[in-house]
Amino acid sequence: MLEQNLFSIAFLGQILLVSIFIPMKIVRRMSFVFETYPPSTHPLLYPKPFSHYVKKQQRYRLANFLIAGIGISALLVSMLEPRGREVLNGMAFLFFMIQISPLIWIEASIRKELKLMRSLNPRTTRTADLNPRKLFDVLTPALFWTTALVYIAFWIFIAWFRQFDYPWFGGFQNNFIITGLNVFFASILLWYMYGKKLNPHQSEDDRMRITRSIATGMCLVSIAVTLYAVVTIYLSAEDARAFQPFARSVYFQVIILLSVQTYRVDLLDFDVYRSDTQAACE
Amino acid sequence: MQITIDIENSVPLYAQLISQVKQAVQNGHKKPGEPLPSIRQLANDLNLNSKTVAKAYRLLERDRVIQTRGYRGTYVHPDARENSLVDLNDFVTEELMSAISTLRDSGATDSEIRVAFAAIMNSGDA
Repeated sequence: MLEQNLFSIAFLGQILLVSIFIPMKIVRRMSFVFETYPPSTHPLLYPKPFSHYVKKQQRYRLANFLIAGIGISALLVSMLEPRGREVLNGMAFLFFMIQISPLIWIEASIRKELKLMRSLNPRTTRTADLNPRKLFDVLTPALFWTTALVYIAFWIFIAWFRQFDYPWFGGFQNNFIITGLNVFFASILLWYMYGKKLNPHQSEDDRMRITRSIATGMCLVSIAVTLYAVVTIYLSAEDARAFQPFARSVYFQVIILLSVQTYRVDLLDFDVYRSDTQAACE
Repeated sequence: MQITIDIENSVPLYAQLISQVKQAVQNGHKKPGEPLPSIRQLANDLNLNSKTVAKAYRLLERDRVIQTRGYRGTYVHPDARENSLVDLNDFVTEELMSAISTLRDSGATDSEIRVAFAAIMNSGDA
């Protein structure tokens, strides 16, 4: 009963955080940009008509409210119907994927907007920084080494755990999954640091600010995933699998909190989106 | 330190890059021993073909304005400041003008000079 109550609380938290709190934060950010940097003063920011962006914001908000409604309904049903609990426990991951789908949709549409921005770029000049980017420009050494230490500690933990003969234990398979994830993160970071400039107007400072935020987020997610793997193994070993849905829900919330970029939008340089004639007049 | 290239400028892109790097060295924005971005980084930032940046780096290395230290990257040459003042384009133009002037004095026509120059350049012996 305790585990079910804990899961219900965590699941409610997951609904509120992933489908209401974070989307509202993103919607507020969008509104701030729309109001502070409108198309009349910052035309290069909007490669499509302004109404397109307002509609997109409305759809994003609506999708999240609908998903939150579905989640709360499912939670209520699970509290009244015992069989519903099992179904909900099993569906937590699927529901999380549904919850983040509007965020993925927004990210994908930003990529499309940037592609359009590049093709419509009226400027014939291109700028670049004459300094090489280094790993520790985007990541604090403390966070990097902490991530590395957690990763090494995980290898040691798995090696130690192999002495117990649990039939469900995957052994070094766990290490390969975590290693694969870290390699994936590293390649994304390298792509952000050295890859093609997606936004043709973005200043070097903004690029570094965003890359720093992504690098920090990925390190924290890497630590969280590793710790979650340890917790899952521990719960299985202690025969406390009933707590796993609760742990999974908390883990999803931590992951989404760490993944959503934390840089301050008001610090970004929006003057780059003014047209050259407007910039010359001021 | 930012560099800017203009893709519609009649000056070739690699030449614009060379001139900007030399300018940065002369102005003291890039000091001897300081690192430079990799070819890939610069090419991606400027949205250029990496061969263009590689050509600029190769010519800057030939002029001893920059030096490549294997996998550690590319750095400003210790004598970059003096070397960046030497413009091989000017030198080549002066030498060619002097040679053309000598040939004209000896009676060769412009057409003969052009044909001979093209033949020498195309033969690969030059």
